[in-house]
Amino acid sequence: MASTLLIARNELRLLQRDPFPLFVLIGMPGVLLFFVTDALIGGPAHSVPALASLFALMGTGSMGFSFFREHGWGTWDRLRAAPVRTIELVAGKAIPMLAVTAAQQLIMVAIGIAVFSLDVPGGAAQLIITALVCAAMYVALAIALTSLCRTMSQLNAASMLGTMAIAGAGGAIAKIAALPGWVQAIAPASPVYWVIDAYRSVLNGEPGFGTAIAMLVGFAALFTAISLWQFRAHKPKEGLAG
Amino acid sequence: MSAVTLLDVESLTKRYGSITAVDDLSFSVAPGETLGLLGPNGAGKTTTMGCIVGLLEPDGGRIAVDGLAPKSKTASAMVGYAAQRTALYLSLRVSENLAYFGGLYGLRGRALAEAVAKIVDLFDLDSLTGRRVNDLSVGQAKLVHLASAVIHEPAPLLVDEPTAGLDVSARRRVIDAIRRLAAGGTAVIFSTHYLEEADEACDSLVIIDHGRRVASGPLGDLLAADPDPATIIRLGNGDTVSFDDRDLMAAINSVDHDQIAEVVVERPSVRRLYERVIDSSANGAGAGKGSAGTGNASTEASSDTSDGSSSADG
Repeated sequence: MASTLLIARNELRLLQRDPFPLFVLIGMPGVLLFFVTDALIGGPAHSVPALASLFALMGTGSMGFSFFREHGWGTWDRLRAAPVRTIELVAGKAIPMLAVTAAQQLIMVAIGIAVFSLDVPGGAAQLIITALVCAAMYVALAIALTSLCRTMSQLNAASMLGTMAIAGAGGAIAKIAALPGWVQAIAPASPVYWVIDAYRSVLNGEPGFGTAIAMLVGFAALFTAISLWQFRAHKPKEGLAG
Repeated sequence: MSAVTLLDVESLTKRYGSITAVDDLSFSVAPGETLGLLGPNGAGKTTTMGCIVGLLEPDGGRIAVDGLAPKSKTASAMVGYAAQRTALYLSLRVSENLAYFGGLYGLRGRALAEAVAKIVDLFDLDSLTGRRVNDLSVGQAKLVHLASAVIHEPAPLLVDEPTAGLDVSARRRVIDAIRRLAAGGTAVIFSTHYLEEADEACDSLVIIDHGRRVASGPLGDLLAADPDPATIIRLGNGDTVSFDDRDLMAAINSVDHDQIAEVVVERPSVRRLYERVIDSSANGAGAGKGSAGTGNASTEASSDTSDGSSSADG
């Protein structure tokens, strides 16, 4: 546990020195929210979580970057040679990602409340649970993608393509009802569908909160299983030197 | 130097597919001993170190760090490893790197602060602690890299070509630091292509080629087993005449004095030993095979030089 916290603190320090991922994750959707709320998706209760999802998915590339950077700097093998288990290492890197992604969700909702007079009929507890579960799902997805990709280019391509597919099918770019019939049929296979469902429950008082959260926990478990299956600390990755 | 060994490698074997990178390699290192792991590029030095520090899974043999398996947490906490490539967090300050690596090895609070201060002093890094690694020269970064590998005062320390790419002054500082660590009781295994460094810093050597040990033993014994000093006479026309003969005058008198441009007498050295055993290994001639007859030193010709060079590192 001590090693995990130490690694987490180091990750936060690195993020402090290079905060650009935060602009992608929080700054860009925060700005975009002012322009597209009604025009693109319709209604802040939908567009706030939709935009948060879109950029959280894009952020999976940035989250994976932290692993590739270790390979690029040569520090990955040093961590492996240290008395630190792989699970502690991954957990240490995941904790700041989880905190930042959960913060992104909450900040987006806060902007929605401040600018668009969003209500939170579900209450603060449901909102925090939703933000944390969504963040866990995104982080699990990021680690799963990282475990599957050997190069940063592969990860970028996978996260961008995945963002378009998962966000598009889940209703983060256009309302589900406006999508082609076959896409509507597969929409529940996208975790973003359930993210928006959960937030609509919290922000609009619609039913289905429990089901949406359960589905998101299921997706997080699925992505974690992929990581456990595919993540091998000794697998080389072509990292970035910078 | 103690007779009790701290690190034992027995019949270590590591393969990459059909290539045997390390083949039945055995050696031991005692506290305070500096062992030079020498060999050409691709000989299996880095692979050997990777197995010892738990980065690679051996295909055969046994490694024990103070009797423990190298992948156990206790053994990992005892070992220090400085890979050939400098591995630091470039955007962090030197002090932050040192503190982080110290923390990973269990140092906390006051103990960590004291360890950082001690290592800064040992490596003379005082002027660098506030600087980001990105802003350091290659030599400075290499020193910090080595310092961060020993901040937890490892019992055995493995350093892979620590002076590669450094200027003379930086090399001197690295070698001095290694010698000080060994003097303090650390068992040091270091690989280098600068053979004069092995002459200077090592108590014992293991020379490997194609993953196999071709010579090993205490440095003094290995050098004592070297044939007579060579007399090399360079002639004015560019030709060179070598004599493996202690009788310098006989050698000089065997050539026309007017033709002599230079006379060089080579003493037994790691370079001469290395060239001899690696040549023997490459030729598969068996020269020098078996015990050298003095102390515990032994040189062995590789019986299998046809299995190609390893695709692995040095």
